[in-house]
This record gives sequence, structure tokens and C-alpha cells, in this order.
Amino acid sequence: MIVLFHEIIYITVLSTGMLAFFMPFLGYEDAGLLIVILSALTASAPALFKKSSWMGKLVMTGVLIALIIAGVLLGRNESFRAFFAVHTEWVPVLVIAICAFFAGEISSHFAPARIVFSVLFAGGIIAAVALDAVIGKLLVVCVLAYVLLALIEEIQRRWVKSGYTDGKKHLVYVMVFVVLAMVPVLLLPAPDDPYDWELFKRIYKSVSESFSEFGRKFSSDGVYDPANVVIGFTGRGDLHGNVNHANDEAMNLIDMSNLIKGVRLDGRSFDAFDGMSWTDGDLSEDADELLDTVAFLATVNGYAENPDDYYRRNTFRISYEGISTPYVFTPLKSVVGRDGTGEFITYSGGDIIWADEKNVLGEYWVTLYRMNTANRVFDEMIESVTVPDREAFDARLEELSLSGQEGLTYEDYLRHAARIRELYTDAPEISDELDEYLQRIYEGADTITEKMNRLCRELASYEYTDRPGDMPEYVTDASSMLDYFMLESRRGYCSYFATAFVLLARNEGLPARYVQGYLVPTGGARNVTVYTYMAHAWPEVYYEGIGWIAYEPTPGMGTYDYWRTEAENLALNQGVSAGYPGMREEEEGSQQEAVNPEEEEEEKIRIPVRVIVIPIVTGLSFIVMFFIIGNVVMAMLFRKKSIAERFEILCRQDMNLLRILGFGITRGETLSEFEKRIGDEAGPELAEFVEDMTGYLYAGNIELEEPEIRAMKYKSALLSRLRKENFLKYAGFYLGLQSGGRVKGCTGEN
Amino acid sequence: MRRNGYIAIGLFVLSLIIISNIGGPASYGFFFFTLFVPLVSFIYTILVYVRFKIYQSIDTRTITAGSAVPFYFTLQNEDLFTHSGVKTHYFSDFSNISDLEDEEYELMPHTGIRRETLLVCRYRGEYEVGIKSVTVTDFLRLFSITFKNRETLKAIVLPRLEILPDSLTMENITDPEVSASRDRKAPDIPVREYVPGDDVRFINWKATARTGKPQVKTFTGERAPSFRIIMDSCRYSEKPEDHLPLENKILETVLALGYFLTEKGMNVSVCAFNEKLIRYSVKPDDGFEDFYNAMAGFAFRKSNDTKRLFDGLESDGSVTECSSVIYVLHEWSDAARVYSERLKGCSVHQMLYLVTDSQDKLYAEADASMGIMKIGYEDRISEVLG
Repeated sequence: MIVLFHEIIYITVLSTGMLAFFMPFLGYEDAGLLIVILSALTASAPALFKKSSWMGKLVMTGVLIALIIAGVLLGRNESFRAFFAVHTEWVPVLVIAICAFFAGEISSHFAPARIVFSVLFAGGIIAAVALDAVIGKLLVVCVLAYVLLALIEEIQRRWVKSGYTDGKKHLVYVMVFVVLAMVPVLLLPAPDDPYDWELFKRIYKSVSESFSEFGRKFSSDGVYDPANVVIGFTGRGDLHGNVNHANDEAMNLIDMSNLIKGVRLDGRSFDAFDGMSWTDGDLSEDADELLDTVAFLATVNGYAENPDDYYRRNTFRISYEGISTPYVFTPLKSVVGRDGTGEFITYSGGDIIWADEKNVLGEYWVTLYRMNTANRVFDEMIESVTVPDREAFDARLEELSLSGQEGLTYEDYLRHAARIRELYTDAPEISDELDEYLQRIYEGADTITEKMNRLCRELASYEYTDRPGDMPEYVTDASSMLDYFMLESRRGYCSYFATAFVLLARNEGLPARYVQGYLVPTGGARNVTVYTYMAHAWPEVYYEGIGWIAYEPTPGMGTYDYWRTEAENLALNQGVSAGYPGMREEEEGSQQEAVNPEEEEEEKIRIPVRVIVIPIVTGLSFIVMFFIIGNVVMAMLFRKKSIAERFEILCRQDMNLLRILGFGITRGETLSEFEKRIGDEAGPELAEFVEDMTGYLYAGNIELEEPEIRAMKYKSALLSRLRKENFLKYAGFYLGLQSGGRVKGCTGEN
Repeated sequence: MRRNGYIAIGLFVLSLIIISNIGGPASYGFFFFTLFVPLVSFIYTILVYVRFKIYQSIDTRTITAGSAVPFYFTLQNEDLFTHSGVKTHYFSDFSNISDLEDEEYELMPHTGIRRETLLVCRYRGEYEVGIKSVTVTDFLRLFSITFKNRETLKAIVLPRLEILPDSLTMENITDPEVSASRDRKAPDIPVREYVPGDDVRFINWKATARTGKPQVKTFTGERAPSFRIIMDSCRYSEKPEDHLPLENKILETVLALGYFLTEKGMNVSVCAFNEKLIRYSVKPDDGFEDFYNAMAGFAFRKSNDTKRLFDGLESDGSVTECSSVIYVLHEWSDAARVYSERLKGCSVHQMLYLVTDSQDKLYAEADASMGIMKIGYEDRISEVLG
């Protein structure tokens, strides 16, 4: 058995490795699990056949005959032939299995061959890597497993030890650890890129940031901003290194309108960029958000006949769950409030912050004036409007019940707009090369909104990656950062795209700011959980009269600010009544689909019952016939033997059965000790058998007829007991798999 | 094994370099291979360490030093995986295992290895014997764990009674010629200085001429032949490897001399100090076994120094009753010298057995007229006297 297992180990590794190597050459992407198992079984079958007793060989031959007959019968079936004409995997699998069997036999029996194969296989892998050839992971694992097996056997061969030192047994009994070592090698990912040590960099960064935060928290100036740590951003407006994705629950959005498919929650905005980091120099305490919202409503209502084409009013609530931050997250163009008395928010540099930082876990409601910014009519409005007049502004204040509140006068609004134009327009110097590139982007764009849209699309065509790596050393300011990002790398995460957009918008003379917050895809759900991985950065551009408008230049990020205007809906309805082409296509498609199941039905292979029954019956008949013939021949041979020889054969079989039943003679045990133990453990009848055997061994040529008969009786009793206790072992005994080897007592060993 | 470890570390470092420069299944596979194979090997070693069983026994716990007793041990693997390398190490400071070196074994699943051999304890005392520690090694010979045997055997070892050969004479014992410090000019007949009143017929003229002073013969045979053995009972070191061989040899010497003398029909008493002076009488017609048992259980102590021993003997005074005194000491101290001088004045014959492994401090200190015999820790007394 050990030798068989030893051979099967090598055969399995080799057949799997060969499959992994050859399948891509034969046009298959990789070897599937079923194919691998089938190949290993096919390759192992000859080894099993070789080690089986005559009965086992008989059964296996019977099965093979049954399979051949089944193949012949199935070959008359057209669909079966057609199926195998297409699915020709079995041919290479069979050839590979045969090759693997021979290679496995050689590996199992010849140590030098193992070493040679190991060197060849490992050398092949090295050569393939050097030549940049495509290698599958399964092939690599098989080669490594083979090398490991050879290594274990070689170490064992050279190891001076007492006791059992058989290499084959050693390998079989440490095989579980070989599998344990190789499974992770197979399962763990093997990216095409070299390892960038990101994990360790993250650990280093995380530790250094923790120390940094700790230092800031207890620094003498007392300025501590926990928001950057917990809201999911990578840093404090930093723009270098790679990004981490936390997955913590941050807040809940409650009672959303199902028309809202996504919402952008502004958290913190920045105005100045130094090439590596954004900083917030705007320290104004004006109620920017309210002034911006009121002015927007005033402008739209003064411009549009149907304001619903430009904004829609929705309300929902926000509840903080897992974060502690001084920032109150709100969408653009919204008004926030809270049940109860007292002011709960204040303003700082365009951001809304909690008045009392200890009370951040509460709930507040938001009235959102969602903008239809993705619709072209909105751009047309931006191009057409200017600052709203006092009358319109006051009217909106009145409508929002904000009249008379301090800091919300028309003059305050004008001052607010002037501050934004002053603080958020610091544009970097643009290199000639970048300027030329921008000119190509803007070519033919007549309006500023068109320019911004084109810039947005251009940036969105770049590559998104969480791991852009560190900035090169020459990036020292906003200009060099733009050159690097726009002309060289063109890859990064949201902060890169937002930064580039803000700087280039300013270059076109528009006030723009960099905003960190959450981009929350709601999917129309009423209650939505916001996770820290939804943290995002985007640019916002300030237009006269309209105020701040968000853009989305990051690749792959959705924009949710679109709906059809009333006029567009009207036009669409008229078009549908005339016959919407898309619907015709859908109808045609469904008709085509209706045909396909029938075709599939025709392609199914129907296997007649006779194709299953005839091979099985034939195989079984073969087995039974040769079993009977074999037994008759063996019985005749048995009869021809002398009494002593017959008794010896029976002794061997009985001792083997005793061993299978767990009563075998142990190392160092004498026959008399064995007899006593058997008598105690298995009953007096078996002890008698041992006594007979002892008598034969020590007393020599005694009268054996009676003991022979008893030995046969014992054999029957033992077989009966084995069948009852463990049928598998019983079957294994007949198939020759439960070999007992030489029986010590009968072969003269002691 | 260390070489394999270095190779594994080298391969791991190489894999780190490779994955830092080349991506793909080959480089990552090699990296994980060099990472997980040693890791699994280490886990395997830990498993063997936890699961490995060892059983050992000796026929009797009470053993006589120098005699062999049957010793058995079984190494057992009760798991489904092989125990690749199990190496046994034996206690060797005070005992020997016959025919077995530190061997390494492989144990297949559900098998054991039983070894039967002989154990010989060298010194009197109570100490651990048999398998001291076990080293388990993984199948790639990368890691090994050596751990103390959890179930050691403790043996009580009695001192060996060495029977001196009959061919030895009393002179061999009391004044052996092998003494390297023997004064070759000393008279053949014991003499002492003439004092007024001595019979002039007993003047030894040969000795008188040699010394220039009148010398008269001493008559030692006038007294009944009786021996006193003065045994050093001080513990000179707290380390067992230092004190066990010395104490064992002192006891062996005392027992051998005592047995030999009593067999010759002499009266023998043994004096030792154990908080007080203790005297054991070993008479020819008395059983030797009681004396042997007393010696076997005798406790050496640091406080039992030779000064206290000889002070005790001075105050005892009975020592002049015997004809010969045999010292079995580890060192010849000032107290011993003073005591020896006094005995010399009383015409008591003296013999010193100095039990030591030291090569240099031995002979110069003792009185030239006294017989001195050096016995090393590993010497056989019969061979030294023969």
C-alpha cells in the first residue's frame, strides 16, 4: 500500500503539472478541476492495477471492458460523436495520463531521476520567467511540489538514523504537511506586478500617522482635527502616496426620496495647494452655505419659467453613527436644521461645523435643492445669469423663513461672493507643453461650461488607481504637479483628479475649491448607510449667481444630478407614441431568445439505456466468469500442494485476517504471548488456531489434516467477522488491497 | 541541519528580491513556497514535540555504584504522521548507558522503538539517570527542539564495596611502598629518641650513628593490633559534579579498608564527624552490613571540616588505644598535622590515604615518616594498592 501511495503521489503531481503545461498549447485557457482529477485518476489506474491482487486486476479489467463497450455503443450515436468531435480534451488528457504514469514510476523508484527531473523542471520555470513566457500558477505549484518531494526523499536518504528509515514510507507519512505547505502557495494571489510592499508601507504610514496625530493632539497649540483620521480620508488634504480604504460605518441617511439615486455630502473644503497638500486658508465665519443656497434659488427663479427643470426640493435626515468629526456633512444647495432649540452649527471658511464638538452624534435634517447640473439646460443657465438682485434674494430669504437673521443680508451675500473670487482663484503657472495640451482639449469650446465639461471628460479618461506611488522629486509646487499628472502619469485616485481640475478651472479664471466628503450611491433606497470607504474628493467651481457646482472628473465615479426637463419629457412622449426603436429591438430580441431553448434541446445528448446496461452487464459477466475460473484454478493448485504447504497458506491468510481485524502479532511478541493475548481479546477459538500454528512451527511434521480443517474454519469465521465489522476492509481483502505481507510465524521469522 | 537552515533563509531572501522585481506566478509561487514550507516544517516540529511519547524504566531504583542494572526505554509515536527525527540524550555525568550513543530514530505512525540495555551509576548519591533530553527534528532538517525529558528516573545509588585481593598484605595497606613520599633514609626498624630510663640494650646503633643521637627501638607489637580509620566528612563543593565523585571515593576507600582489615581479623573503628564525633566499630565477628548501611547513608556536610574533626578526636583521647591510624582525607590540613605529631609521639603508626585528583599539592605537606597513598576519583583501590 505504501509503495502504491508513493507512486500515486508522484503520478498525481506529474499529471497535474503536465496538464497545466500542455493545456494552454492545446488551446485551453487552463486545466479545470475535473480534468485534473480525471487525469490523475487515469494516470494512477495502472499503478493501482500493478499493485492489486489477481481479483483486483480482474475487477479493473472488467471495468475497462465495460467502458470500451460503452464507448463503442455510444460511438454509433451521431450526437455523441458530434459532442466528442468538439470536446477533444480527453485525447491529450489520456496521453498526458500515460506519460505521467511512466514519469511517476521512474520518479518513485529512482532517486537520481528525481533529482534530474527536479533540476529540469525548476530550470524550465526559470527559463520561462527569463523569456517572459506565460506560466500558469498550477504549473509552478506542481513543479515546486515535485521539488519538495524530491528534497524530502533526498534528505531522508542522507539522514543517518536508527529505526524505520524507509524513504517511501517517510514521504507518505509527511505528505499531509507537504499538502499543507503547497495549498496556500496555490491559493494565494500571484499578481503580474512585482510586489510593492504596500502592506508594510501602510503599516509604516499608519504608525507614523498615529504618532503624528498623537503629537498634534497633545501639542501646545491645541489644534486637533480628528475628522481626518476617522472620516475615511487618507490625510489632511494630502496628495501623495497611496490610499487606504477603511470600511467603518460613518452615518445614516434617513427618509431619502426614492428619486435620489446618489448624493454628494460636502465635508471640508480647501483653497490653497502647494504641490503636495491642500490647506484651508479661508477662516471666514460667514454662513456661506445658506448664502449660496439662497442666491441660487433667487437666480433660478428669476431665470426659469419652470424651476423644477433646474432644481428639485427633497428633505431627509442624517444621523452620525461611527464617526466623531467637527464637520457637518451636507450636500450643496441645502439648508440644515435640527429639532430643539439653540444653534447647533457654525461656519468656517465655507464649511459647516458643529457648534459643540461633544454633541456630534446627534441627528439633523437637510432640505436639499438638488441641481440638474448634468442637463445641458443647466449649463445654458450658467452662461446666461449673473448675480441675483436684492429683491429676488430677499424673496428667497423670506420663503426659507430666514429673513432678518444676522449675516444673511444681501450685502453679506455680495461680500461672500467677493471673498470667494479673491480666495479661490489662485492659479498655478501653466507650462507651454501643458498649455498646448489644454488647447487641444478646449479646441472648439465656445463657453466656459463647455470647457469645464471637456476638462472633466478628459480627466475621466485617465486611469484610476489606489496605488499611484509617491510623487517624483521634481514635483514641488502646483505647476509641477500638474505637469506630472496631466502629461506624465495620468493615473491616481480622486484627490489627484479633483486637484488637477481645481487648478485648471482656476487657470480659466473660475473660482474653484477642493472638497472632501462622501459620494453616496443610494440606489433609490430610503435609508442608506454611509461607510468610510465612500469618502471621496471632488472639485467645485463657483459661477456667478449659481454659486458652487460640483464636477466629477474621477474615472468610474457616477454622477446623479440629471433628470429630463419638462420639455424633454414632452418630446420623448411624442416619440414613443410614434414607435420607440428600442422597444422594437427588445421585441425582436425576445423572439430570438424564444428560438434558442429549442436549439439547445436538440443539442442535448440522449444516452439510450442499453448503452449503460450492456457495458455493465458485460463487465460484470467478465468479472464473475474469471472470478469463478480463477477460483477453480487456484483450488486445483491448492489441492495439489502438500498438507504442510496448504496449512502454511491458510496460516498466512488467517494471520493476515487477524491483522486486518486489529489482532495482529506485535513487534517482539512471542507466539505463546500472542496466543494468550488472542485468547483474551478475540476468544478461545482463535487462540486454538495460534496453538495449531505454534505446534506446526515447533513440532515440525505433525499430523495436519485436522489443524488444516480448523484453519479453514477459522478463515471462514474471520472473514465473516470482517464482513460484519468493516465491509470496506473485507472488500479490500478480496481485491488484494489489504495485504498483510509476510506472516512472521509462518516464514520462520521470530 | 544548520546548513539547511542557511539555505532556507538564503532562498527566502532570494524570493524577496525576486518578487520585488518580477511579478507573476513563478516569483510569487517561489516566495510563498519559501515562506510556507519552513513555516509548516516548524509547525510539524512543534507537533512532534507536543505529541511525542517516551517511557523508561530500570529494574530497581536502588543501585550499587559500579554495578549494571537493566534499563529499558520506549519511544512512541501515537499519531498518523511520522516523527522524522527523534534523538535521545542520556545523563552521563554520574551514570553510563551501555552500548548506546546519542542515537537518532524515526518513528512511523502508531509504532514505537524499545531499547533494552544496561545502566551503570558511578557514584553514591541520589540523582537522575537514563534519558536526559530529547531533540526532535523536522523532515527537512530545518528546525530542531531539544527539551528536557518530562519523566526522568531518579536512582538511589549505594557505594561500591570493593573487595581487596587476598594477595595484599597488611604492609600493603598500612605502609605501602608505592608511596612516593616515603623517606628512603628512614630506619628499617622503627626507632625513637633515647630518653633516660630506657634499656640500653634496645639502643639501635645503626640509627644512632646515622642521626648522631641515641635511638632506641620502638615496640609496636606490644599492643593489640587495632586500626582506626579517620574519615573526612566535609563537603568541599555544593556542585554535585564536584562533590559526588570525592565523597563516593572516600566512602569506597573506607569501606574497602574496613572490610579488608576485618576480614584479616583486625579490630577496626571508623571515626567521622557529623556535627559531633561519631565512631563506628567494625569487629571481625560483627556483621559488616550495619557498617555498610551507615556508610551508605552517611551525610557529608560543609560544616564538617577537618578542624572540627581533629578537635573532636583530640578531645576524645581514645585514639592512642589503637596501634594504627589510617587517615582517609581529601586534604592534609594543619589540624591533621598537629594531630599526627601527637600520635607520632605515642608511637602510633599512621597512614594517609589522600583522595584527590590534584597532581601538585599532595606529598610535600605530609610528614615524611608517614605512609601516603594518593587515590584519584576514578581509581580502583585494589589497583592502586596492588
